[in-house]
Amino acid sequence: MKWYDAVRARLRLLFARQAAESRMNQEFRLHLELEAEHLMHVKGLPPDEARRQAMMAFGGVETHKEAVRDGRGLAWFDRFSLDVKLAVRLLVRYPLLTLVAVAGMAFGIAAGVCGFEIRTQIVSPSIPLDEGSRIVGVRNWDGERVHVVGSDESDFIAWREQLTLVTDLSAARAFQRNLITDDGRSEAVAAAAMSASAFRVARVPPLLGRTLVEADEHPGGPSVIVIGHDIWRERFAGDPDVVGRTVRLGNEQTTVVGVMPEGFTFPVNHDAWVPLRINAAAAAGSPALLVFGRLSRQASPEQARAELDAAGLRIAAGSRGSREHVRPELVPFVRLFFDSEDVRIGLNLGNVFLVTLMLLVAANVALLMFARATSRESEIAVRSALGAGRGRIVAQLFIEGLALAALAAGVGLAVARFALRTGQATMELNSGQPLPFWRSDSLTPTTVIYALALTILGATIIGVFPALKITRSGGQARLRQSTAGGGGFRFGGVWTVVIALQIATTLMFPAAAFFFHRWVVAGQTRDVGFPADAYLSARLDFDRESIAGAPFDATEQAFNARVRRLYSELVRRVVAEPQVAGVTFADRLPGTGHPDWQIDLDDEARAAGRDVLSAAVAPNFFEVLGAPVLAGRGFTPADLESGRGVVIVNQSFVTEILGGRNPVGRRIRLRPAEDSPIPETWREIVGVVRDLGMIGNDSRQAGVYQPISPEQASALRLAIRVRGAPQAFAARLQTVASEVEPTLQIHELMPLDAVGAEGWVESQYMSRVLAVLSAIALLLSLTTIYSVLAFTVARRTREIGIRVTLGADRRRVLGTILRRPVAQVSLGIALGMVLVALIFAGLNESAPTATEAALIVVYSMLMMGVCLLAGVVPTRRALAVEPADVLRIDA
Amino acid sequence: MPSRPPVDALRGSLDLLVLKTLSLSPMHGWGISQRVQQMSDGEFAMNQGSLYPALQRLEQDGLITSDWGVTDNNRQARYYRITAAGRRRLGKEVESWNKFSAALEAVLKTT
Repeated sequence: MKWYDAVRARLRLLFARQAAESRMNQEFRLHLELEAEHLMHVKGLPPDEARRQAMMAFGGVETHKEAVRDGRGLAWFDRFSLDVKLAVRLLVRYPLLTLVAVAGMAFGIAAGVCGFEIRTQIVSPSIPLDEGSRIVGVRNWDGERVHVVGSDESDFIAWREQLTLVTDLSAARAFQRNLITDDGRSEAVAAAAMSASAFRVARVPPLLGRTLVEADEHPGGPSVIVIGHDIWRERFAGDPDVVGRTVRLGNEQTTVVGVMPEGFTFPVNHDAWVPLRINAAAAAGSPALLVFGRLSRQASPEQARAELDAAGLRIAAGSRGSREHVRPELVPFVRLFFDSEDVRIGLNLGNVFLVTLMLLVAANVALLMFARATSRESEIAVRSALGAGRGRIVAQLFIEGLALAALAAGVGLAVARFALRTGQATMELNSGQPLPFWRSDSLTPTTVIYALALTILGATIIGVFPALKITRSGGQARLRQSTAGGGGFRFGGVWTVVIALQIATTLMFPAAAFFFHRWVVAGQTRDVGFPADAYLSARLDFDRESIAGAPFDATEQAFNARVRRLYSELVRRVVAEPQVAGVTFADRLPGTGHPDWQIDLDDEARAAGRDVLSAAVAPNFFEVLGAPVLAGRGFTPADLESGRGVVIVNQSFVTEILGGRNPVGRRIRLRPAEDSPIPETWREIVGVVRDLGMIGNDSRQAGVYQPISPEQASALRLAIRVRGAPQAFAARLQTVASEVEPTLQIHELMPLDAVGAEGWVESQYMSRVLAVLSAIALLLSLTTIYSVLAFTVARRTREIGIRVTLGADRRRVLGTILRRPVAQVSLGIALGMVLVALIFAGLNESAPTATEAALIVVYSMLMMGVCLLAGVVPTRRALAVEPADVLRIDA
Repeated sequence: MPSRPPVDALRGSLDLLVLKTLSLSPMHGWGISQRVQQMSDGEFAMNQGSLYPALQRLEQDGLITSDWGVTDNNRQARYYRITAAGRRRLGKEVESWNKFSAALEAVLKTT
């Protein structure tokens, strides 16, 4: 392969530059020595003369060296390094421009990179396990109704029997139970009942002891548990002898047989594993399982899919009617948890948007580069006159762009990494649970390559486009023109549009950030109508069945009775604590999102089908929250039993729904959704309370409270009035609860005012991101506007000078010059105000307050000021020029 | 004084001469220049230094390779060696040269 050898030789020569130079020098030296010796020997010349003649025979040493260097391709390299040097020098010489351009490009690249990385992590994340890409999931798909159908144990058994190309087919079912240790500590853990083979799928050996094995799966066998690294460290203080200790998981005594290494939370974010014991007799209709395995070495996904299809047909042949269209399908492992197909289009569009954003930023920077390049127009003209081709000049400007973009890419990648990390931390905080184990806060190599592509794309825009424009007409004409002064480039009609749009966007960006921030602050500091910071909140959960799935209670009534008993016992014990002033519960706590329900009013057709927010609360809810009943009465325990539905409404209900009329005694019908059946029973409004932080999808807050008993509530969220700091009672609550019943699960233990704030963490984060983006957009825009306008005016220095010399009135000249920039800026500001108004309307916000309106006006004036400054400064400079100097300008 | 061929022809044939020289045995730069002059009977009087860009070119084209070696009187020198590709090229060049010179001779004879 001749070309291959040639390329290799060239590359070797190029990269071993130093070595090549020294080799050449050595060869030349030896040649001259040998020749001189030869001459001394053959012709008997004295050494000096021999050396002289040898030199002559050799010819010009430097010329030959140059020829060799040229042949090595070093000429190209030298030119390149010269361009790089020049580019770096320019970056240093215009620090402000460099700063602004790098900040802008870095932001563009960071945004693009984040978008791409998020898309990768959602659509095709790499599983950080040995050959993770070969781990696949199997799920049921209903082709008729187009959705996923849960797989039960019978599916799993059938698939395991029939699939040969997916090895170690395993299943898992997630659950939460309290892990109760000898010291009496009882805390909920995220556990999974999992096939022993799943550890082979993951290919992660245990840190201590063993993983689960097939023998553990026998029903009736000893109960065993493998614990995760976090539990081992936190609950067992990293005890090296933990294997063999017994613990309770919910109701079951179990023996620790192994500890998994740090970071192992397979299949998603689990921290404890017990064997999945399948009861073949009752497999059909069992709770849903996750089914997964490893593609065997010999099999391609297509082959495994074909095998599964065939198996699916055999299984379907004997299936019941409702599952007629249900077929198993093979999917990438992560699709078991999250069907990225649904969001793929959205993510792709998002990425297109981000790349467009990057291109817009690059276009902006290109404007700056263009303005700078045109100021070097004469230099470029002289260079082309001296023989530099157009390609050569374009290449040089491209290298300049590349230097800038590379700097920006470095910053951008660091920013992207930081944003990903903080973003993920925020998401974990917001959801209250760890993200899946395959999430990664570092950038994948593909993303880095993507960043490089963006960098080159950006460099092309900011380097090549200005260069092409500047070198478009012949160098000769340019040279003449620039020495003759005037002329050259002028920012015409297109630029007017560009500048106007630029100003409009710039005006809009911080306004949007401001509104968003205001919304976040308003949401966070919303008055919930009682001192939420004096309450501790927690969610209670009761174990319904054993890990194997056997219900603890014979009937639903028995379960309800148990819940009622445990709840009242817990309340009795908690209230007896000295620092507790009261306990209540609701299915949703103030300061959090509440669902919309539909209501009908008894006598008014127009109120039919209106949305109100709804919560189910304990009878003592308002009393414990210290929210006085404003009209009518509060709930009583009797309201739970009377069978006659009563509700209490809030003040917003009175104003929004009833227009301020007295609600007490009126009747309403409530249903969860518009299409749910209209209930028979009418409920009577017995009282009115103040608004208590019900949060819906919009700013409307009309709400209805229904009384409920603990066993009927869809979720049991406690609010405990604590004397002193609520958090101080948290540990005690855990203890009391585990004394009442060790299996009683306590989740989301935090001060009540933090419950609402949690939901705002993400919004707060977004608000900060938006603020940074706005600042960068503002900086970039102002700089661009300033430099473009200043440039436009500066180009007319000669014209101004001549006019003034010819006797024109200075003020008139100033007016003529500034007319255009002022028009451009005014147009932009007008357009920006329209956009700001649209955002206002879109957010469905109240009209801006006087202060906000004043801020916006000041803000537009500031923009106007900067733009005018951009025109005035160079114009004044031009007006001050001596007529004689004018003719020398640009010469 | 013998007449000299034009420079271009000399340059083209320099490659040929280098390949021919190296086809006999590996050699360092000065040795090659000596061989070329001997073989051409002093006809190709050229700047000895011009040899090196030619050697580099041939090496880049994969027709020759080079390696450090030691001369008879124990000095480090770069030794060039012809490759298989180089031999093939030499064969082709010699053949076409022969054809060309035969044709030229025929033309000159008829005149």
